[in-house]
Amino acid sequence: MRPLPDALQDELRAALRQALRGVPPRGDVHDLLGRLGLHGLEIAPAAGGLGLGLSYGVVVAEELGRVAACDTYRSGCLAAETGPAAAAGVAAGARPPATAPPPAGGALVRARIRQAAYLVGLAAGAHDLAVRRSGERHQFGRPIAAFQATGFALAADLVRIEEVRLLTAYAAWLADRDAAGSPDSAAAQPRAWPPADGEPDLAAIQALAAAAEAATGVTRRALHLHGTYGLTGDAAIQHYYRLAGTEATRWGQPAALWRAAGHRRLASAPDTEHTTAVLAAAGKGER
Amino acid sequence: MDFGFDSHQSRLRARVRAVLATPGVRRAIDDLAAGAGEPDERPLYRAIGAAGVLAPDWPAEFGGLDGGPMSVAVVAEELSRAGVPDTLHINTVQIVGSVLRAIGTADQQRRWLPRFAGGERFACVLYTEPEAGSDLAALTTRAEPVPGGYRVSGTKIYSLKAALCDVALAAVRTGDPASRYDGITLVLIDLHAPGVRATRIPSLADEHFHRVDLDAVFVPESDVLGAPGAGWAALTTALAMERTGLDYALKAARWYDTARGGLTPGDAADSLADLGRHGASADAARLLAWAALARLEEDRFDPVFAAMAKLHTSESAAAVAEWGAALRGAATAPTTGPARCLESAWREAPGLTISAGVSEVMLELIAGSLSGSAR
Repeated sequence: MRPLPDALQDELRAALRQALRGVPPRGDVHDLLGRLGLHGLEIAPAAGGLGLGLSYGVVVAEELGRVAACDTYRSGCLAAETGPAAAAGVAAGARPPATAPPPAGGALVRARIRQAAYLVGLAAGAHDLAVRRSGERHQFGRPIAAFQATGFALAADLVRIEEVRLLTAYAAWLADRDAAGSPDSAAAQPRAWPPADGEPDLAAIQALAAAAEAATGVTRRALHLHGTYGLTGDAAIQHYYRLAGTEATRWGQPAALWRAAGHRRLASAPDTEHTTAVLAAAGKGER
Repeated sequence: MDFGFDSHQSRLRARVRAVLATPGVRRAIDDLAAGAGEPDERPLYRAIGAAGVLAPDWPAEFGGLDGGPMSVAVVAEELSRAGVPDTLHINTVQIVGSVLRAIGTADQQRRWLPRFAGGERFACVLYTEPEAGSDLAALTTRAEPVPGGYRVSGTKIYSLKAALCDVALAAVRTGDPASRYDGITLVLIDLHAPGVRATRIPSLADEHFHRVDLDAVFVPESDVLGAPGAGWAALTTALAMERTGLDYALKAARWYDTARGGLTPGDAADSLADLGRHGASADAARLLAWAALARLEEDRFDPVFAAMAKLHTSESAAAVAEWGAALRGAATAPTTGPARCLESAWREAPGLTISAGVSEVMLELIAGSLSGSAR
């Protein structure tokens, strides 16, 4: 147990942040990611990738969201899951197709986790802009950040971002663990009391629902703290707001995701006659 | 990031489960649940303490298992799941024990730590005063120097479990009363000593508070913790280190499981989104507490992250309790089953966002770290 970034995650984040500095909002970063050799980060070495897993992929997706990039990383990873040929192409730097059939199964779980990470990045990037801006704008002779009404809102948003970042990292870790298969020794250990009942599917759904709401809420507050300037075409913050709106619902609306998460919680409660009756009443149509 | 418990931690978990499953411990837990009013958990803690698992992060010479802060999470999770009340354990081992380990002399540590770890002696804290609540720098309890030690006089309030405890960690003033931060000293007060009087203050929650009046209570020099007058820094460090949020996160998880288990077919369809939301926030609470503990384990304690963990975990637990009460209606005072647990949780919830750092102070700490620069 070490729920802190490892050395490679720290290095990856620092390198990306450096490389993405100066990229304008909604900038195309396909070639830049290619020069960094990151298109194949999650793709198996046999197909020319690095085989590093989603726990590193979420670092990439978050940093892309932080600069509000229009990336091909998420769609590339998804395209690569359709087969070895597509994977090799993506790893070699080919642009993924603009449209693709909606994913299902494990591909949907992983797409949701990457999406959650991108939304965490959008929220974190917008929050950075809001902190800077509210330190510069003055009212009643003080920076607006010095007022509790502003400072507390920014503090609460920071907690929200950290919450969703951890939910996303945990979902990625569960998905990687399941992909690797459990070692035999794990079966002999006492079952813990894992968050999300240890299910990557549930962990992905709740991370995405929470990230979607955090991104729309945090970007709106961040824009608000910019004042009218934030609405103008010159302001970076309005791009975060727009992107949060379109990206929040890509793999399910938050309201539907929360219901789906709730249904899975019921399904994983201790299996009794009572539980079965509750589940039946909750509706079988939920997914 | 690694969210998996290693084999050492899993063995500890198995060991704690085995201890909690022994007939003597099981019976003590059942006795507590069956009793009316505020229970006396000391027999239960004696039974668990005899097995040596109450202070897993302490050195073996003090009755511990030489584990790190993460081992505390393993033990606390298992105690919580088994329905063991946490206040005596937290106060004795995690709060007073930790302060003793940080600034106690070798003699003080030898005298108290093994008995705390063994569940033989219990400790509480005496910080708050009638005129010094969240603002501890305003405390006025005086310690007058006398040959061989001090005579302590004053009134402390809102102490939990004081009537069951043997010793208290108290913050008292040894220096100039005009100074707010200088001259505060931490001392151990023998609660059985002449001049100590504890009276009950009824609480909304199941656990009542105590007012502890100290009338010229003698405290020998050997019971002064750290340098006289330098207690403020030790106190603020101790308060911040308590803020991993672990105990609040475990309450959120336990109450969530209770509410989920108590749902009826009639509730189910209306409760799906709430089940999802509160489940996620209880999960996030535990992840934040683990992350705060991991920082402690690597000596990377970060007071701002700790404030975030305290704020999130306590607010999440309170929100889960509110949801649980709304499912059944809390006003009926049920006597059994999940409904009793949820009704009790609902009365406990408001205290969570007040104790160990009120939510607004946590927000102030976090906001203060933001000002001026982007993080």
